[in-house]
Amino acid sequence: MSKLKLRRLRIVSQTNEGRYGVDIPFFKGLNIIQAENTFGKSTCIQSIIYALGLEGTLGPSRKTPLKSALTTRLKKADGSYALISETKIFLEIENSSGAVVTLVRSSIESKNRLISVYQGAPGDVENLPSSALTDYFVRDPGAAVRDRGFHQFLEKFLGVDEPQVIKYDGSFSNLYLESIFAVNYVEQTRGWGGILNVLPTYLQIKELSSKIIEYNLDLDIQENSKKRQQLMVRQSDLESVWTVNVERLVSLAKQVQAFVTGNISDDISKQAAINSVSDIYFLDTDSKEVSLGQYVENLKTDLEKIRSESKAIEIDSQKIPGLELELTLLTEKLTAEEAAFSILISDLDVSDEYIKSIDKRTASVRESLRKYNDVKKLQDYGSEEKFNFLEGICPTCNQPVEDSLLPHMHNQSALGVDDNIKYLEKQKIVFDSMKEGESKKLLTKKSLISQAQHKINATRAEIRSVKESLTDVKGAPSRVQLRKEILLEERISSVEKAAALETEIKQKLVSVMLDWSTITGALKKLPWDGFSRNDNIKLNELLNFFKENLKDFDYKSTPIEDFEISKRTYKPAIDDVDLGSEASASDNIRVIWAYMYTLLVLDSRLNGLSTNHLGLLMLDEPRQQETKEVNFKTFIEKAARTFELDKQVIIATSEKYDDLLKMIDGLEVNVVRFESPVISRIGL
Amino acid sequence: MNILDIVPKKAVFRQTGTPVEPELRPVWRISLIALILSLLSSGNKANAKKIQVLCSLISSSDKRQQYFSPTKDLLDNFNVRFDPLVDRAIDLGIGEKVFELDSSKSIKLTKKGLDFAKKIEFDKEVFINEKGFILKFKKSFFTDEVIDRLIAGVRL
Repeated sequence: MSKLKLRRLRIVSQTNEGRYGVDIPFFKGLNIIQAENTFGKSTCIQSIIYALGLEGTLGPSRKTPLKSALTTRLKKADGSYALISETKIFLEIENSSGAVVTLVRSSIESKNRLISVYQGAPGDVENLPSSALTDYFVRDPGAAVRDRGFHQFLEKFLGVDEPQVIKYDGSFSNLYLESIFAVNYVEQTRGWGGILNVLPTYLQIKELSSKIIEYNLDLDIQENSKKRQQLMVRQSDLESVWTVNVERLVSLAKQVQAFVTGNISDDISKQAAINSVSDIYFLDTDSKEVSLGQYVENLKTDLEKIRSESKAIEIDSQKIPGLELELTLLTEKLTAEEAAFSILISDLDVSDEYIKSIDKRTASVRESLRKYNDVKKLQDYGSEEKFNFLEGICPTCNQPVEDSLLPHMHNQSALGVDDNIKYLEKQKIVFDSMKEGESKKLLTKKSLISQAQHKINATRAEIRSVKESLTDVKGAPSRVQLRKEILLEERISSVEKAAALETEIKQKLVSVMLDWSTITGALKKLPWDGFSRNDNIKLNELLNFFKENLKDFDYKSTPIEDFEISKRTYKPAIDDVDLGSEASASDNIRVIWAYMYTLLVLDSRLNGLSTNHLGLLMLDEPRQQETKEVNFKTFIEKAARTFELDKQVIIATSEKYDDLLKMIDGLEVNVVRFESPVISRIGL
Repeated sequence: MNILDIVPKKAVFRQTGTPVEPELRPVWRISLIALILSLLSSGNKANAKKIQVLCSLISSSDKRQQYFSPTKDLLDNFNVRFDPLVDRAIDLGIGEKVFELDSSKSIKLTKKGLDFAKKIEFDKEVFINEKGFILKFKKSFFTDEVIDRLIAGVRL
């Protein structure tokens, strides 16, 4: 089914010698405009582009793309010129649901930014009441997006849904109609230089030609890669939420001089199920790991003990010598603890340095691995070029050489590339393990340090309170006990608070993990290279059908079996190199015919899958000498078949009329023949 | 699982060869030089000095980053290393007819070399970082003057 069908083109020029113009009807299937060269075939074709406001397809120029024959002076049949005051182009088009509109555009500079739209197909176009016309503007930056922009109207009318693409500067843009239209029109001069040779590259869209073909084939790869991107954004959001929460948990543990066990990983992908019991652990006085529950139990037992002791203590001045002795012991203890603390601190620095050095080595191994993957690939290219040294032979003297630039290897040969990669991967695993081990140690050290700090503070407090007891003998002994008691109570309450917070954080972690696994699952389900099953069916059929057509057109330059459709450019390629200079000029034209035609009718071969092709192909015949040997007849026959497929092909040609008649014998073709200049005198 | 915790059941020692840095593989270095000649040298040829400097700059991820670092003024000198192994790679490349010496002793890509370089250029999976860096420059950017400045560590 065709999204865009041309029904009638009318051109009317007001000149100093009266009205000139032409009226050409178009039907579905093949339409041929036949006239001698210089009679104005291209003028007609370009008028169509102009009426559709798609001159941007041809280039960024802001000038009217109409030939001077329609803007300034017109060559008459007798060779003299008529001066033109205004030319109006009327183009009647139909969309897939059968709605018809007539587009009107003037050649005059002051009016050429407007395209007027008339609903329906009027017989007398020249006297349309202005109330029946709706004006839209064109060639302005907003033409495609704003309500009164003509392209906005045209897209709605044609049912075109432009995909989003990325520009060279990284911003997003729509793939506008003037880009999409490149597969519908082959221009006379530059158009035959290659497939999609004339593109609006000034729009700065990345990989423009492949995006255009992608859209025309309606491939899912766009959608898939967009989906992948969205999922990946959400995945990384969740990952950062995860990291933040794990960090919260770790700092929470630090606040109570504890640490988090390895059951909680910073890396969500390595996380096993989350424990419902606490993962916060403490180190007791013998540096043994104690769970949070057990730790609270121990504290409570200590508290009980102190409380019962404090009752038993009697206030007694006899205790002074004992207190003094305790003071001395405590001071010694403090000195020892401080010394231990400073050792721990310097030890921590060593660990930090060590981890940094491991990171550096890992980074360099990773870089080497990346380069080795390149080496592997390059070797393939190298053996295509038959590099001798890859076989271990010197290209100059045919002596054996090592696969290394170092001149002398110590009695040893170089490790093979694959083995070297394995070696580097092993090295990376070792470094990772070393880092993991050291990180664990670092964590323990940190918690030891905070514990040591805590101990020092406690000892200092104890010293203070012993001193206070000595100055206030009578009430004193119980002060030390009291202090211990209060400290313990505070400690118990802060640890319990931490336990409550931990439960809260873990709930968050569990829900993050659930979402993350869902998204990761969805990501895994997307096809690995972005091409869905349907995409592959389409590309395969594109290739097969293209080859068939090429064969029918007598392509000779290279074996047809060698053709592939590049998954990068979607154009025919041999050995993944786009077809370029190898083919002869006429074969080049055959390739363009075959490819454009294949795109046009591909959907008829797809068993229900559809493409986004507009269903219209306009070809402005290449210059005569290049087509001499080309089998025009086969192409005409094929193009005529589009009648049954409800597509439209419009060809402008200067092929001899008699030859043409022979070719189209028995075919359903609309031939419009001009024996004199196309734009000629009309009416009075 | 931590690899350092695994105790091998049986240890076997085998002679397999010495690991080689990837930059020391001839094919890697020749490919890089081919890219430099096709993408950063007008007429696909350059003198040995230019090749040395660009090899040194492009091979190292540190140097590549440093080149565009906002603080590069503080680190004027790129410490370009003249590596005899680059010369060796060029020799090998000449032997393989990837490069040739022209009358002014410049190193030039042959037709074969150019095809090879194009393949690498169009392959999206190879030399990703290196090409990413190279393509930030115009083909004519690294003139002799720029090269000399890079060597001398003079601000660009």
